[in-house]
Order: sequence, then structure tokens, then C-alpha cells
Amino acid sequence: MGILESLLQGFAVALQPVNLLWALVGCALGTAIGVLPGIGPALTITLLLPVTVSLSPQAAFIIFAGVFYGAMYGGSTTSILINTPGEAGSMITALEGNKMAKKGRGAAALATAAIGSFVAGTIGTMLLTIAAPAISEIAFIFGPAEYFALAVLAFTSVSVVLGASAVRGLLSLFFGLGLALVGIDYQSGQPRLSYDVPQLLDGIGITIVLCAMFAVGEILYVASRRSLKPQQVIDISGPVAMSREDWKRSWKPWLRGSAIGFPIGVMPAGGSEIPTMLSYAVERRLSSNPEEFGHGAIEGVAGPEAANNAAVAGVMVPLLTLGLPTSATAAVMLAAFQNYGLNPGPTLFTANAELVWGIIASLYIGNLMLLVLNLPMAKLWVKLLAIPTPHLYGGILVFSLVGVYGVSRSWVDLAILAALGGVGYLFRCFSVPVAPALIGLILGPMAELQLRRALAIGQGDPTILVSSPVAAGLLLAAAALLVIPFMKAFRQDAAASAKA
Amino acid sequence: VSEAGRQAAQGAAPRLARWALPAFAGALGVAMIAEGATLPLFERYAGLGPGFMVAFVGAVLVAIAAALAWQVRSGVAFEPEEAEGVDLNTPVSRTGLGYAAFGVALPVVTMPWLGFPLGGALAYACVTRAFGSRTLGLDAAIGAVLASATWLAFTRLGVQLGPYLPFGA
Repeated sequence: MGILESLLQGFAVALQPVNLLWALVGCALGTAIGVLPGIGPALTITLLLPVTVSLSPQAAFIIFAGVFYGAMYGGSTTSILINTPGEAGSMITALEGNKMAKKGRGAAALATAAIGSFVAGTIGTMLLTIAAPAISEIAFIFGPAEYFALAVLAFTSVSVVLGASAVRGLLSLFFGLGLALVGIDYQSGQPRLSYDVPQLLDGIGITIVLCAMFAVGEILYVASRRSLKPQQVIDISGPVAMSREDWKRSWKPWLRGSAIGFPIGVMPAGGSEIPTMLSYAVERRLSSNPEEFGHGAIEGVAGPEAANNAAVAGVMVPLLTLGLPTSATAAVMLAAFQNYGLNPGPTLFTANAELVWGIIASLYIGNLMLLVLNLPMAKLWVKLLAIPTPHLYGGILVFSLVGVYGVSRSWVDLAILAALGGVGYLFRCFSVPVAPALIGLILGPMAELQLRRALAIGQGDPTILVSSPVAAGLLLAAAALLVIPFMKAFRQDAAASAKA
Repeated sequence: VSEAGRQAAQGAAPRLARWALPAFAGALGVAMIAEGATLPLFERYAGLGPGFMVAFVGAVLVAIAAALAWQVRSGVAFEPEEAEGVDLNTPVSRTGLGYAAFGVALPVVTMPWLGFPLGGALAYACVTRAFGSRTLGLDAAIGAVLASATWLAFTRLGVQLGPYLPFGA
């Protein structure tokens, strides 16, 4: 069956009234959490996991995709109107967008962000539609050695690229890998790191780790360093729209942003931070009025916002075709697939074609919905910020408790939640990124399984891990990622001491 | 120190507190190596045993702890993370942190005895207090309504949150 036919079938699924309703729920929820501080798409999807158990996988993933895309839209609204980038991807938007809003051009900034996100999201989804089936075909040649190498590449890139320092990124990753080892070893049946606590034999649930590291860690951190300055929401007058000049200055950055964002999103640890910064740099260089940058240049909002959303579509490619999450949210989506007994990877496109094409089709629909939800209603979403901060964070804790206590009603889980929340706090105090821990926790078991399989196939010979060009290439890339930053740091140190 | 360096170090923890990170990594690593040593590292038929990965992750954590310790010694600032609603220029509020931590730890004891709605309400009130609210009674009441509503909604959806009233009543 061709791509077009498959996609049409997907639309037949996504356009069912009940699925449209779920897409709307997901998009609205995503926008809301994008606007609100303290709660991101990864945590929202985690908290939805126990609720969506009673839904079909299709409905659940349509909601999750809406949350994933919607959070990006909501994040840009607060970046522009109150200069609080909720996540790394909106940092650049805050830089120029907030300046525009201060100059009374908030409406144009919101419009170029929303329309740019729509354009890039749609282009990104089209590229996903074309690329995903092709990549899933290639993935059929992947054996245990290749999968292990792929996981190692994801590990190193996530921990080295994200965050302030490679060492701290690796600390987070190995903390996550350690958590993944708790419980009974699937191959030998022996308990590991469970210290005779029966509740630990099943391992530490992903929901607990997520609620702890994202919600509890954030609550403790913000409570200890709370900003006492009142938030100033810049008022916008008139409809959210752009002038002819704004359109002229925006359309090229949208397209360039999409071209930058999608491929970087596809790569392991591409994330949304690098493409937005790259797009910003490109726009600044190509702009005919570079002096406006830093003072509210519309290109500086249009390009990075597009790059941000295209990267989100890009992240879906390795997730759906290889089962490889490259961001925290994608890692949670992988966990959600596993919850339903589904294995993202090459077989997903053949064994669950209806589901996967339904999700892809719902991404197109979700994008359109988000444009409608955000363009005329931006001012309405900002009203959510009227919820007093104490009650917002109180509510986040109660919902996290539902997620954790609802799984097993065990006090041990609540104690783990509190302890890991403390670790989340510690990580934030020293800028240790949380995402690598999550990737380690979720991909760790897969990596260990594939490593042991590969070694068993090779009868204990470790060279089997580099015996195929694909596996060797992936491991080489991982090694390069790991070594280059250390070499750089070493050179800088040497240069500094030579100067002194 | 460059201007950028000074800014990056804004709100950074005092040097003694920075040792927390290498200490955490080191303790975890040693515990994992000890556990890994009690399990078989290799298996007869060319495979890795259950202890291998545990010991390996532990060893890497110890190496990371050493690298972090070296960084602390050479004066790396370990700047705190910027986040929404956070002001790194204000001093750390121990009261805020204390109340929030109490709110997070309290359900471990209260929830199995008092049930989800009441346990949730108490945790909610602690967190609102941590964020500067002074109306503890009102907050607890709002928390009770919110926790009851979530209990009801989630129980309907098939999520088991235990009995509504304390002591399993």
C-alpha cells in the first residue's frame, strides 16, 4: 500500500467524530499546560497514562500528540506576553517576541508564532509522512548489535548535547540507567538492587520517576527560589493578525526554520534548543535589517518558532520507526506505547498500520486545530495565569499523587516519589539536566537486552558489536560525541594555562 | 572572571554545598558496585550475567563522581537552573523548601491511613503554604474539594485510589 493510501486510511480514523474530540481535548490541554508554569508535556502525558488505560490506543495517542504539539504553541504565548519561556525551545521567542510586545507589536508576534508553528508543523508532518515508512524499511536490517549501538548513540548525544556540561549530563544518564536496573532481571530471574523490598521487585515505575523528577523536583525548587516580582502580562489591543509587511518578512523564516528544525529533530538528542538557536542565527545573518535583532525583529520570532515545531515532528520519526526517543516527551510516549503492549519500531508500520497512520493524520488535524485555538484565543489562554501560584503547585502535587498512588496504593511508591523528588531538586540546584535520566530509564532495559542478545549470538566475542558497518558507524558517532567536548575543554584549559 | 562567568555563577551554591553532587554520585556508584559484586557478572554461555550492568553503571558513576569532585576543586560554579517563576537573585527560602518537602513527604504516612482525599488535602495545604499563602484553613478546604473531586473522577475512570474515608471506612 502506498503512502497516500495509508495516509487516507489514517485520516479515515482521525476524522471519526470521537477521535476529533480527543484531538481537541489534547490540543486544548497541551496549550493550557504550555501556558502554565511548572507542568510540561512529558509530565502531562505521564499523568494521563492511568486515565487513558480505559481508552483505545488510538484515542490515547491522538490526545498525546495534541498535548505534544499544543505545549509548543502555549509556550510561545507566554514567552511573548510575559517573557517566561516555559521550555528551552521558546527561549529565543522570548528574546525577540517579548521586545515586540513591549513595543506594542504583541499581536503581530503572536500571529507570526502561531502561523509559523502551523506552517512548520504541517511541513514537518509531511516530511514525517514521507520519511517514516522509508526509515522503518531500513530498520528491518537492524539486529541486536545495531539496536544496541543506536541506544548508545542516543545515550551519549542526549547527555552530552543537552544541559550545561557533559559530566552532569552523564551523571543524569547513569542515574537513570541505574534506576532501570532495579527489579528482577528478566534473563536470570534474579532480583537486582531491590534490597529485599517486595515492592521493588517489579522495578521502579516510570510514572513515579517522572512525577518525582518533573513535578516534585520542580515544586521543591520553585518553592525555594520563588520570584517575588509580580508577573507583568503585556496587554495586546486589536486582533492577533499581521500586516502585509509582516507577512513579507515572515514567510521565508518559516520555511527556513522548518528546514532547520525537522532534520535536527530527527537526530538523536536534536531536541528543540539547537534548531531554534540555529534558526535565529541564520535569520540574523540573512536579515536586511540586522540592527533590529535584540530589539524585536519579527524574523527572530518567525524562524525559531517554525524550527521549534518542525523539530517536534522530527522527533516523531525515530520514535515511530526505531522506538528511539530523543526527548523527554518522546520517552514518555514510548513508555505509553509499551503500556499498550505495542513496540514502536519497523514492525509498527505493518502490524499496527491503522494506529500509526491514524496518529500521523491526527498530527495534521491537530496542527489546524491549534491554529484555530491559538490565533483568535491567545488572550483567553493567558487568563489561565490568573490561577494563584500556590494553588497551581498544590494542584500539581495532588495530580502527581494520583499518578503514583493510583498505580499500586503503596506507601513505598510514595516514599520513592519523595526521595526521587529530592534528587530532582538536587539536579536543578546544580543544572543537571533531567531528560537524560529519563532516556536512560526507558531505553536502558532495551539496551541491556540487545547487548546480551548480541553477545550471546557472537558467543561472547565483543567484536560482534562492531562487526556490521551500521553498528560500527553508530558507535563511532557516539564515541566522537563523547570525546569531542572533553577534547575542547582540555584544549581551552591548556590555552588558558599557557596564557597565564 | 569574565562578566559572563560572573553572571553564570549568579545564585550558585556555596562551595561546601557543591560537594553534594560528587558525594551523591559516589555513594550511588559504590552501592551499585557492592550490589553488582553479589551477583554473577558473566554467564557460562557467552552472555553477561545479571551483575555486569549493575557493576558497570556503578563504576561509571564513581568515575563521574571523581570528575565532578575535580570540577568542584577547580572552582566550577555549578550554576542553578533557570526556570519559570524562579528568581536566582533571591536567597534560597528554607521555609518555602521546608514546607514543600513536608508536603511531599507527608502522604507517605497519611495516605494509607487517612485515605486519598484527606491525605491529598493536607499535602496541598503544605505546598500552598510553601508558596507563601497564609490562609491554611481555606487552602486545606480547597485541597479537600480538589482531592475529593479527583478521587471521584479517577475512581469512575477505573483508577483505584483506595477508600474515601480514613482507616478504610
